[in-house]
This record gives sequence, C-alpha cells and structure tokens, in this order.
Amino acid sequence: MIDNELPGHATFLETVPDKRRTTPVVGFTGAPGVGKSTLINAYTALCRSQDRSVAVVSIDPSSPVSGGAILGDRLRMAEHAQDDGVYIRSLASRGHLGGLCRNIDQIIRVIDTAGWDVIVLETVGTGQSEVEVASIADVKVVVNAPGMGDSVQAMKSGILEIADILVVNKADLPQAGQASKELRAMLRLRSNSVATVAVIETMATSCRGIDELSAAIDDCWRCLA
Amino acid sequence: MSTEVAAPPARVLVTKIGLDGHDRGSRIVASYLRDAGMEVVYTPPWQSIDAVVNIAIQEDIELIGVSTLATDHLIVPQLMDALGKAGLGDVGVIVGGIVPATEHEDLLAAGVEQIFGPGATREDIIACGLELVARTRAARRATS
Amino acid sequence: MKPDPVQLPLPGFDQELTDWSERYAAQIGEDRVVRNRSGIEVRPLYTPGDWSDGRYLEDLGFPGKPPYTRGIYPTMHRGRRWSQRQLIGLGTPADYNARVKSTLDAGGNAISLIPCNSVFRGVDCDEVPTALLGTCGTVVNTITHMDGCLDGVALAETSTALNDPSPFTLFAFLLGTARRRGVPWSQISGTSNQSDYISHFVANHMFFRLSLPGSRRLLLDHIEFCQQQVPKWNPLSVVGQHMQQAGATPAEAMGFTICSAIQYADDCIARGMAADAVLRKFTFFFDISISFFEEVAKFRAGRRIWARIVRDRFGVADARAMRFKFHAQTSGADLTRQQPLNNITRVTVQALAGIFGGLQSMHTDGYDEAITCPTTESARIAIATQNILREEASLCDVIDPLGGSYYVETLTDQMEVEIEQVIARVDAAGGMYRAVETGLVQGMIGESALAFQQEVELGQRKVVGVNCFAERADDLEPAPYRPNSQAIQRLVADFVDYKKQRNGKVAQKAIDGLARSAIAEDENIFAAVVQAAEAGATHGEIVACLRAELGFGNPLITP
Repeated sequence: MIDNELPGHATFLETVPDKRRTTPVVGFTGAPGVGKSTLINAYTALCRSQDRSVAVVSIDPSSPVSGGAILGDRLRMAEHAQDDGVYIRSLASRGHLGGLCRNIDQIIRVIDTAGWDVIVLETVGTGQSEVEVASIADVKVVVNAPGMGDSVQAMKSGILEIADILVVNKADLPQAGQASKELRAMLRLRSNSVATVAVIETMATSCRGIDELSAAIDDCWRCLA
Repeated sequence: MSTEVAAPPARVLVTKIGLDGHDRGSRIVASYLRDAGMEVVYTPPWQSIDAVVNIAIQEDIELIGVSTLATDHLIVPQLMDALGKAGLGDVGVIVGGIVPATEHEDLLAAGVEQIFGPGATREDIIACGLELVARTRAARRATS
Repeated sequence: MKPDPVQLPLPGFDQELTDWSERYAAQIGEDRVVRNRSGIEVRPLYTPGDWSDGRYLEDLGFPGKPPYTRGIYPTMHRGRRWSQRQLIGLGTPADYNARVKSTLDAGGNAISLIPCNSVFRGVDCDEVPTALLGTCGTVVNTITHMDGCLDGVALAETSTALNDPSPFTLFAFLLGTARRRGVPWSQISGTSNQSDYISHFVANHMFFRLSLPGSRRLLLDHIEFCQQQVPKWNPLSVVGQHMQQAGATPAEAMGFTICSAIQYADDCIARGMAADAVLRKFTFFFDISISFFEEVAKFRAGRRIWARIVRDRFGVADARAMRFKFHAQTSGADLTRQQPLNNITRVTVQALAGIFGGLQSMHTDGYDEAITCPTTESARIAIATQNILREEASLCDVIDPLGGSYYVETLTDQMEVEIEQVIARVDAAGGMYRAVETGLVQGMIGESALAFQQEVELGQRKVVGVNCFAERADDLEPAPYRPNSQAIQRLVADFVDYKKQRNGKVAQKAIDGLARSAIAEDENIFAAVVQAAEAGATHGEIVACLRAELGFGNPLITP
C-alpha cells in the first residue's frame, strides 16, 4: 500500500508509532553476480535455525523504458517461501536513483513495528550513486566475489567506504584469498576508521562462513545500541 | 521517454507448480510482461501450492501466471481451491503452456481465466493480463 | 584458420560465375537475405570458388582418422548401423518393461530409461501428488523397481543409457540388479546420460539436483568408480541438447558443449587422472533441429574442432581419444502441437540430418511429443522412420555422402568459425565453470531464445500449422498418456510396504556411511551411493542425504 501510495496510506502511517527503530536493518549490497541473494538465503536460514524471524526487502531496478521490472530475488530464496517466520517483499526501484525505492523509509518503519527480529535489505550497488543503503541500514554488508576485477573497482568507488562488513563470497575460488588480502590491505590504508571493518570469506552455496557473518552482524548492531 | 504512469505498475507472479522444470517459455513471458510495464515476481519452478499462496499474499500480487508443460496442470484446480480459501479469489489466474484439449474444461471450471497454448502472441497475453489486473483493482476499490 | 577460396585455374570460371550472377539477379527481383539459426548468411549458390579440395587431407581427411570430419570410424554406418536407442519412460516398472520389449521387437537395439519427473526432483513416489506420477517417465525408487524394469533383458548383452543426473542412483540400482542376477559389473555397458551437471545448471533446471560444487565432486568420484569397477560404462556424456532446446543456436550449443567438455577434462586431469584415458571415454549428446544443412555442418565441424582440441590443448597423441562420439535426438522443440501428424515429416528430416551428420546413436521423437509421452503407435512410427531411412533410402551405403558439397563444406567451415568464437568467449570469461556462475552462458542462450520467438511471432520464421498453412486440420489431438491410476496407487502402496519390510537398520547405517563419505574429502561418494542402494536405501533417501551434506542445487536461473 505504501509502495503504491494508495489512498489512505498517509493516514495509516500516522498510526505507526514514530519511535526509534528496535529491529536491526542489515543492508546487503554489491555488484550483480557476487551472490548477494544466495548469501541472504543462507543468512536467513541461519537466523531461522536460531529461532529469529526475518523480513527481507529486496529491490531490483525498474526498466527506464517500460517502467516494468523483473523481481528475481525469490529465485534464490525458494526454501523460505512457506516459512511463516520469513517475510519476503520484492520491490522495484521505479525510477528512483540511489539503489533503493522512494518510500523505503516508510516501508521499513511499518515492517519494524510488525515484530520481525531482523530486517534484511538487499540492493544492487556498484558505485557512488548507489550508496543510499548506507543511510537506511544499521549494519552495511558489502559483498564481493573474487576474480571479477572487483577489488580494484571497489577501491575506486565509494561502496567500500560505507561498509561495516566486507564479504568475499565464492571463497572456493582460487582468487578468494587474494581478494581478501587486497581488501584488508586497503582497509589498513584508511585512516580514521574508528571501528574495525571485518573481512569475512563465505561460500554461500554451502553455507560456509555464515556463522562468522552472523556474529559480525550481531557485533555491529550491539555497538550501535 | 516519459515514464509517467497513471496507476502504479501491475504486480504479477510468474511461477511453476508441480514437478516440471522447463522454464524457457515462462522466462519469455516474464520479459513480455516487464516490457509492458508490469512488475513481475519471478520464482523458480517446483513451487508448492502453499508457497504460491504465501507469495501472493506477501507480495500483494494482482495476477498469477502459471506455466505448465508436463502434466502439472493436473494440480491447478488444487491451487485455485487454496487461493480461494486464502481470500485471494479475486486474483486472476492464467495458465500458459501445454494443456491437452480434453483437460481444458477442468481448469476453466476451477476458475482459471484463460489458457494460452503455443501460438499465443505477446499481444494476447499482455492484453489479457492488463485487463485482469484492472478488473481486480476495480473489485478491490469497490469493497474497500 | 580458414583458407581463402582457392584461385582457380579453371579458365572461363569467373566469367561464367559473373554471367550466372547477372541472370540470377535479373530474374529473382528482390532477393532476401537468408540467415540460418546460427546467424550465418545462406547464399543461393556455392561453387568451387567458395570451397575446393585443396585442403582435403588437412580439413577433411578420411573416415576413422583425425580430424575425423567425415566420420570417426573407417566404416561408419556401412560397417555398423547407428544404435536405435529410443528413450522410454512411463508409468510403473512393469509398464516400462512391456514397452522395452515391444521396442526391441520393432527394431530398437539399445535401451534408454527416462525416470518420472519426481525422480528428477530427487524425491520418492510417496512424497508427491499421485496425479503427477509416471506421466512423463517411469517411477524407479529402489533396486527392486530397476529389476522390474529390466525383467527379461540380458544385462551383459544390452547397452543401457540411464537418464539420471547426479548422484546416479539409477545406475547404482542397475549395478545392484546385476549383482542379484550374478552378472559381473565388468560386463555392464551403457552410459550415464545425464552426468553433465553444467548443462542442467544452465539449461535444464529440472535435472539439477545437487549444488554445483557437490555435483562437481560427485562426477569425478563417479568417473573414477567406473574406471575401476565398470570399465565398459561411459560415465560422462556431455550434453548439448539441453542448451539447444533452451534456445541456444546450433553453433552456440556446440560451442558451449565443447567448453563443458574442456572443463570436465580439466577437472579430471586436476584430480590426477590420465588425460588420454579420460578423453577416450567422453561421449556427447546433441539435439538435431530441422535446420537440415546447418545440423550436418554443426556435427562435422564439431568433430574437427574436438580432434584438434584434444591434440593441441590437451597434448594427447592417442587418436582414439580424439574421436567425437555422439548420440543425438530429434528436437522436440521444433515439433508442434498444432497438426501433430506433420511432426512425422519433421522427425524424418531431423533424423536425416543426424545420419548425414555421422551420429553413432539416435532417438527419434514420437509425433505426439508436444502433448504426451509416446503411445505405442507413435513410438512404433518413430522407430519405423529410422528403419525406413536405413533399409529403403539406403542411407548406410555411403560414408559422409554430403562431403565435398560446395555448400556443406563452406558451411562446415563457417560453423567452425562461429563455434570457435563461442569457445573464445567462454575462455575469456575464465572457462565454462566461471562463465555459468556469472550467468554469461545463460544470458546468451536467453537472448537467442527471445530472438527466435520474436521471429516466429512476426512471421519471419515460418512454422507450418502455426503461423502459416494454419487452417484447422482433421488431425485429432492425440489423447494424452496417463498411467493406470490403480497401478500407480498400488506402486505407492507397495513402496510404503517395502520400506517397512526392509532391514531399516542396515539401510540407515549405509545412509550414515553415505553422509560421512560426503564430508570426508578422500572418499568416493559414488561408491557409498552404490552401497546404500544395495543396502535397500531409496532414491529419495540417498538424494536427501547428499543434499543435506553437499547443498541443494539452486540453478542460477536468471530472468
């Protein structure tokens, strides 16, 4: 309803308490093909095994020509489609730039009051124009995959700057170790990093490294609280 | 090109239930609908009926397209039943793929709006889709 | 490397060619540009100016010797006809057995088993709605079922192709059946027809059962197991059919398939297997579309490219390892639901292309393929088609009869260029494994599929009965095959009984062993699959166990 700004949505929003958010919003961003959706799928499974409910909001770009979109995040999350403890909402950017969609603030507000333990926000992010997730998410996870020329590109873009956690997915690939090294080296070069940014290797398809990732996310959230 | 739309884009679910996994056709139809300005939630094949109902609720789906090739159409009536019980009887369901002529009646009687076989054109499918979404929206406005 | 058209010493040739061109142009009026499915332009006439046999020995050679362009054996079909290996799969094991026997009587000489969709999904018959069981393949969940399927079939004398992806439970059931009958495994011959998990990941998602890394390991274990214990079995069949049916052009399908083969060979070699031993057992499986000459050229080019890859990329000198052996199936994607009897003609043309393309083994589709798995009548006609082509059209008398045709040789060269370009693109992406992980291959196939569909819808690509000559035909729509529902219910009831009657502890112990083998890096998982099968574990139990350890296969479906 909020997405479409249907009549009455403003009134509805007034009924939603405007309090400080209590549910962590974990933002996942990164270039297409790095395995974000698969990673979120594994992370969701882990949360569920810890009896935590998860709301996933995933944003795909709308076609600038037709205004339509193919929302494909469920392709990687089929195992959760029947779980009442998982809510998945696929949204289109609808021409909004920055990587998210126009009413994302309000959408997150509404979800926040619905009692989910974790909110996951997924968006495509490759460069400076797609860092909007930084302003919405509490914990920002930037996902990379080795051998895609990523680390160099990432260093040039602003994406790494926003990260609380850097993930190197597809850790089974030979260049994974190299990619992690490069990222760590780059972090050391950054001065004034108050908190240390974790670099975690994962293999989302076989759920390796997910425990570590989850622990790192929990740590970040605790530091903010 | 202007992207002004009078109404928000239609939210459509394209999915496959049952056992078959061939999705060349459903992928093409999803891109037709996207090019016509609709937002298409696209699932992998082998969705259970309960999952489809769940998705339709979570994603505020206004139209469901079921792709069926092998014999998966045989359980479409069960899907229609489940949708009705979940209060989603006003969401149009269209079926695309291969349904033997002798088995069309069962589907239509169960509430499927239209069955598109090979030879159906992009225009037909889009026109039907837009019409069904408009109908669902009108019905919902009337009852709200 | 393409030779320039040879400068002809024929006096007067150029003049005659010009003269014909002018007469042609004058008469044709507005000519249309014709492109085949791979995008190659097809001209009205080919002459020695396009191809001549200056490079006969290098580019064509003689049958049975590299580069094998004209055929991988010296005698080809004249010495040994292609295997008539019809896919069979329907209903219960008893239904399968009956159909096998009637197919062998009608002229088939090799067996292929296609299991029910529920088996492809990795579940047992008591886990799915009964309405969906046995409609498109045979339900096989245990050794007993396999034994029933092959009742009365001499295992040591019959080559069996099993259309069963990783973890190859059907093959495990076959080995268990052989042991029960006292047939040594060293005598079992056939092929694991769906061992090419990359093609499933990319283009036939239905067959994809385990995660990509899990499938990768299991294939290598399977190959090693067969090398040691079932030497006459072909553990790997690299499949081009799925990609072509998903919309890849013929050149793309051949290119991607060869790339997959390269990837598998690399994986085997990395495992420590000897390159020539591995490559000698490679077989391939292709789609044959109705684009007649293009398919012939595709296969001839494929043979030539593969021979050179084995020699140059893998450094193997053994000529037997360079042979491009393949089974082919007439393409169901070209068959129509409208006016189904037309499909008999289509299948005939496709079969012809396969035969002229030099295949080793063939399946011809039934005319009702668009609607249903074949009835006894349509299955009979499909085999009869092959028999007629062989016996009446005498197609086995001459090896590579289209060889030397200016058109076919030019087209073979052009297809080779297209195929090499596909291979180069995949190489640049880091090999087939990387290319499919990033979605490059799927994207290319998707684009080709969309382009083809648009051509059909716009009427640029004619399909008789669909967008031309589409008046209502008298052909009745064939009734869809449905298995006998009582037989299916009995099958499920018997299966539930079976699980109660078997020694549950023994089966569970074997399943636990299977799980351990998946975790241990130096154990052969497939050997554990065979043990579990022989201990009475069911198909669903084995797959579920491996999914838990190796990950569920979520194919990278890209919209």
